[in-house]
Amino acid sequence: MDKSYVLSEEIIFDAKPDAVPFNYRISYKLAKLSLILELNARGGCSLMKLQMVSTALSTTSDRGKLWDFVNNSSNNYSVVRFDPAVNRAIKYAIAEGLFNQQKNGLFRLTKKGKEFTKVIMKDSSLLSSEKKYLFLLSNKLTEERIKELTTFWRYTNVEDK
Amino acid sequence: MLKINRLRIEIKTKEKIFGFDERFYSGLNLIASDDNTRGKSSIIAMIYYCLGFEEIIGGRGEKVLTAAFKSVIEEDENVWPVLESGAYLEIFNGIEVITIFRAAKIENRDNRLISVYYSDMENIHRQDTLLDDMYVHMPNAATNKKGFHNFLETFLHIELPMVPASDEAIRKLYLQLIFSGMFIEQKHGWANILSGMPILGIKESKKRVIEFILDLDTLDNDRKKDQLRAEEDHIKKSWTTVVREIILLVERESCTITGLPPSPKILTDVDYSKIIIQKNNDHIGEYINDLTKDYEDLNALKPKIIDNFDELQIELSETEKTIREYEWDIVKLSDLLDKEHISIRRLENNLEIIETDISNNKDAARLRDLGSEIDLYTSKDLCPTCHQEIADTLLPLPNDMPIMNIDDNIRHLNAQRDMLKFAKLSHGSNLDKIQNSINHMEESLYKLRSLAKSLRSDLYQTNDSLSEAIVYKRLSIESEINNLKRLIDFYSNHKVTFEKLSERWKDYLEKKAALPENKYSEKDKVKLKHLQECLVDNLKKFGYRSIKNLNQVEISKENYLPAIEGFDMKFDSSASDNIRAIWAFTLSLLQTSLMDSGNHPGTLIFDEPAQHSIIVSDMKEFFNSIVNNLSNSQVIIGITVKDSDTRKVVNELPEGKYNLIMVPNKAFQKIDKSL
Repeated sequence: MDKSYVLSEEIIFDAKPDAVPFNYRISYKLAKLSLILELNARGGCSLMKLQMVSTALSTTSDRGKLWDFVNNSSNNYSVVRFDPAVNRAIKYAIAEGLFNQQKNGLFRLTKKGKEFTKVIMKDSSLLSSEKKYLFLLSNKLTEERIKELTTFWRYTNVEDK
Repeated sequence: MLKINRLRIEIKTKEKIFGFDERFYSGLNLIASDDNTRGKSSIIAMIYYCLGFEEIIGGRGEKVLTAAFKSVIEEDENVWPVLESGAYLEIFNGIEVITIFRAAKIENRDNRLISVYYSDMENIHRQDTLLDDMYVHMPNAATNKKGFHNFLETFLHIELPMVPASDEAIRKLYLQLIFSGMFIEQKHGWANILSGMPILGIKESKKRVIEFILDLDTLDNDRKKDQLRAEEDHIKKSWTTVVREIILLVERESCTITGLPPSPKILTDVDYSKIIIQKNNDHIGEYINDLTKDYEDLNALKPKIIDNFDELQIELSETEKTIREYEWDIVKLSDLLDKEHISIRRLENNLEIIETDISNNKDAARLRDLGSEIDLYTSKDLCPTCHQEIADTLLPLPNDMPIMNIDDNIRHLNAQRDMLKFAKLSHGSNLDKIQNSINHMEESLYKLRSLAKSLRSDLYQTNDSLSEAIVYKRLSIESEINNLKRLIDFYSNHKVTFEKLSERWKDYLEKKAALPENKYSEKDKVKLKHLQECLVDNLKKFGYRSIKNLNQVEISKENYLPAIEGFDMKFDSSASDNIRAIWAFTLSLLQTSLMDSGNHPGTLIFDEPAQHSIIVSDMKEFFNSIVNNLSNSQVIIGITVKDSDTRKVVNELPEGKYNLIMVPNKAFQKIDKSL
């Protein structure tokens, strides 16, 4: 019996490389976090703050939200997004020797990290809008403010239950 | 032709003037010295420099010259700082004599400046001698009026061809390139045939230079091909413009046109008869006839209402029906229009996002580079702790999942952007189309409504008044006929343009067919054959030994350089045979040019041809063939006469057939006064 197949060879499916959004590139995240430490934290920066500012940088509306929060005394900053990618990036930064973690848990730039930010700052076309925002934000988001916010959550959550 | 008559170099120091002043003649000129490093090459370099050809030595400006021109000059024990230096060169083109002056070091005088005196060197300071200042090595120096090389081109009675450059433009072949085929410089001139050629962005420059020297028709053919290509472009462009204009007008009158050839072709009567303008599926002529008939019928109608009351009613209801249909169509089309608008807006948003994505990705790529500058492991896709390979991502991925690197990512995004742009473009053209048909329908709707209005007012009129509807209809038919007639007129006007373009196209095709297939004309073949014969003959004379059978040597059809069985001859040559090949090829270019009236200026300069311990008897042959065959051309040779064998060769040269310039201990001797 004659069977004529249209395809006689085997078919191989190959996975094509996946695109990665720029926000999840190691280099990009490392640079952003280093800039936050450089421009927005004197004497160390908490994980919470890194998360908050890093989220704020990702879209225009997020930027506005954080801006409102630091400029008004209200605590209507509903949710802080904890991005696992930021945590992972911090781990890389520590392993690379860009960041140090102090005893009080706050992160700080090492000498190498400072060097890295210096090179980034030198090139004005690089991350220009991010730099501008961080510059305006400066030290407005204090650790106290963040503590206030978390305490506020604790109480409101208790009320919820 | 170019003949160098006299060179005078002046180097001024605080107390004395040093210099060199000698005459050159037709035939063999030897600049000889007992030992090396006497300054022969400085003298020869100065000839190049005066002509603005110092790029053949390898550089621009005075930096190619030796220290004697720029900083200090030695005299016995004394060292004199150089204050000013420069040189005069008297050249002859067969009719006129000019003297060129170019400074090597003179305060406040740009070394790109060249002064041309229209007289021999003796008379440059006479009151009636014309002087012209020109420049070299500046943009457009090869084409501008004050460009020295442009002047030199005219002076030497040569016409440089336009040749394709590497940036796709068409440029003039540079004089420097051509002279690198005749001035063999001491250092890299002897590396390979035409190896001294500067890189000036001309495609296949060696090939072009040989083509020019031999005056091959291929160049001409190439140029013709270029012209034809331009003509083709031009015809195509005018053709599509005409077609577009016609289609535009035809569409404005809501007609269709078929059989219009979209690209140029030779049009026959059959083709013309195939071009048909239609309206409502009727040939436009017939349609106009119908309209005229309607018009006449209307005239025949009695314009009184009472006679046509029933007809008026039927017509009104029909018109209203058509109006409703049109309105419905317009609503549907408007829906489509909105949809297109929405898609375009969405695409624009996406495009914006992708644009920022691309720029952010570019940032990421640069940050990665910065990271590797300060030695980050992650920039090399290595884990900073365990130094194993990791993927450049912060997202958790299954292990075997490949990810794009940043550059691919950027390319990927660029491709996406292109796709979106394309989609946006096609939506845009849809939008235009829909808008057009809406406009059309609205126009017709307007007409129909006016008609309905006339009909309605007719129905309510007293019975014996004049029918407004009939008058309106008459008017509108009249204007339609006029418009269509204008369209026909327009088309027949453009038919003439088509006829002209079709003629030109035919002409173009004929010329294209006339171009020789393999681009060599019969004359070219003869010239190349002569070149090959001269070359083989010279190689035999000069003792080329690397190949047994010299008849295997041929001129490559690819680049006109000598080849053996299709390979560059150099691969099979010993070092000294390579020198012989350069002698032979350079001479045969001149010989062939003389034989077949090519463009060779008739001057050759060899600096130290005795490279790589060449055998003395071969050198003798080299000199002899110059003395015997090229007495009307000019050959200048710089040579070191160190050993007795070379001396013997020089001494044995026939008396009076050559010009010997002995360079003493130092080339630059004290001279009395400056010119």
